[in-house]
Amino acid sequence: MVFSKRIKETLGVPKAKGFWQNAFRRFSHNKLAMVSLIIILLLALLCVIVPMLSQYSYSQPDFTGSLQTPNLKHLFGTDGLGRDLYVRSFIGGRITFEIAFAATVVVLLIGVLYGSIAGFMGGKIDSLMMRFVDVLYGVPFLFFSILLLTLFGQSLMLSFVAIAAISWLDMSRVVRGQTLSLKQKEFVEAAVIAGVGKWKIIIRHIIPNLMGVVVVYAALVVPNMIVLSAVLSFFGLGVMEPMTSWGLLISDGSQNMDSWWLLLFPAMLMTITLLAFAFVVNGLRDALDPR
Amino acid sequence: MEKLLEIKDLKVYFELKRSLLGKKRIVYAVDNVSFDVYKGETLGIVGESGCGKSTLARSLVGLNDITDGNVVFLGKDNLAKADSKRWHALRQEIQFIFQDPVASLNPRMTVAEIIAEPLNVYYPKMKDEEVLAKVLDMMHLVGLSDNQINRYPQEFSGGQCQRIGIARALVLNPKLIICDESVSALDVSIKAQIINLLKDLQKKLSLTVIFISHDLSVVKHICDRVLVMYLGNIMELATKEVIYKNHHHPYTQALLAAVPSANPKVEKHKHVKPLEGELPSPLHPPQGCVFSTRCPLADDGCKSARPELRYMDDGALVACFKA
Repeated sequence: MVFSKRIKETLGVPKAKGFWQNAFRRFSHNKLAMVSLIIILLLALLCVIVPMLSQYSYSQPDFTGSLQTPNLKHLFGTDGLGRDLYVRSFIGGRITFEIAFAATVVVLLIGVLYGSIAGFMGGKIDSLMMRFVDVLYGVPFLFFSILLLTLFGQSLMLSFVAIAAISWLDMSRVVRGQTLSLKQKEFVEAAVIAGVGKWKIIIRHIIPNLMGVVVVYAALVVPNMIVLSAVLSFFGLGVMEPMTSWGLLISDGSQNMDSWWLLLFPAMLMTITLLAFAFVVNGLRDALDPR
Repeated sequence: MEKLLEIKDLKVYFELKRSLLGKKRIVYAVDNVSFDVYKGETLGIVGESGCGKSTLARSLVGLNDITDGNVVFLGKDNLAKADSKRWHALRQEIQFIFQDPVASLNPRMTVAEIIAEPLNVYYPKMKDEEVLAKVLDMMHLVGLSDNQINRYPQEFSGGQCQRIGIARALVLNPKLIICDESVSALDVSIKAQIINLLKDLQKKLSLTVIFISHDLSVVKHICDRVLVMYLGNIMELATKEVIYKNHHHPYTQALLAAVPSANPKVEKHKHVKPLEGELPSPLHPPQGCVFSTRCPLADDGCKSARPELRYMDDGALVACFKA
């Protein structure tokens, strides 16, 4: 904020350590969560650089070397078409991460805004908005995705839309509940008396105080999205060959159990990611909600 | 004296959610309350929990809707009929100090941001330097120091948080300050500091203060006139001297008798007859005088008719047949 800069210039009083700095300090003291966070970042980095640096392409079949067990040339072995599983695992991870993060961002934006508006406005608007959410809850996710994909053709974008469209519902409910309790707080009433408008109150007073819960919930959403996108891929919706994702790789691997590496490596990567996210969520919860 | 606020037949009712086949149920939180607030005075409102004093206070700043009646501010604006635009303008004139000092400050904002917020709303074009100067003025006024300007509320004690709350309330130069139990969450020594601060500020800025409390000794210290409420109705309204020495209403008598004395000898020989029974539910207020169910003097007349406020010889307003 410009204002606090001005204060520092005129008075030489630096801005005090805020909520987030303190939260980060607490988080960094949690070893398990920090290690998990580093693992996630490392995996994400590998997903970016491995496909770029590898001599093998994820899409080019090599029929002379199909179904090789893991060896020094192909660390994770090769699949039925002779493609290097190491590269495919990480390009699959890239897609999975992309979908998960993009969906989480959409979920955050829609969920937080929708939930806080419904909660803050209350009354009829609230009822109407939440009944709409209830209706959307009634739409079966898989049916909806299949419908979308058959209507508009297979595309990554659509599978992502399908995932985001159902996932913001939970977020909006969580946020609405929090908003309802925040609305009763005296500082919100104080803002009303200070003449602050409804929108400003939502943006300056409600949402910043929601962030603790929202961050924890968002970190919970990411692994959910990974699983959901895997589910879609498993059913052959969403990601298309030769592009791949962890879900698709696991689906292929499970149909070809003689070549154990086809299932083991993608499943392992996904499990590690999900576990690491679970620990990060735990760490975030402790860091953002000190007692 | 000039009237700042004229309250006439103020009613604040809350409708309870109706069960499927049930009847409409109404809480009579504030029922037919009329009084004036004069410029520059401190008016105390006392009464036990649930008597409607907070509801009354909140309806004066628009936190509760006014069901019926007139609240005329400075002889022209009727708060009961004001639309949101009018309210927005009026909020500059009427400010509020909350009961829980810590809860009334947004934990994610610094002291500077909190105090500057009303300025940002009403003077959006004011330059940063001016805002800062004004914020510093306010902080000095309430006894905070420069180097605390960038701290967060959690770093302060309850008393200091209340100082921040007072600074925020005063930054727009309001005419009327409403303190809703503003010192009851503080411990005794801090309470005294904040009360004296309020007293000083009132003199310095010639504020009008409505001071709501259940603590009669605090009210005695700070107020010029005292209004005694019971179950949403005014029982007695008089100057401090009359209320504390020559009160007329049996309820005022009961309230004052319950205040412990600092003198152990007096305390030892005091015969307090506590009021019997509970405060009746504001859902079903008694037919006649609202206090008749617990009043030691009540007779059949009290139970069938409700006494109007009337003037006593000493200028006190009392709602009682027996006074």
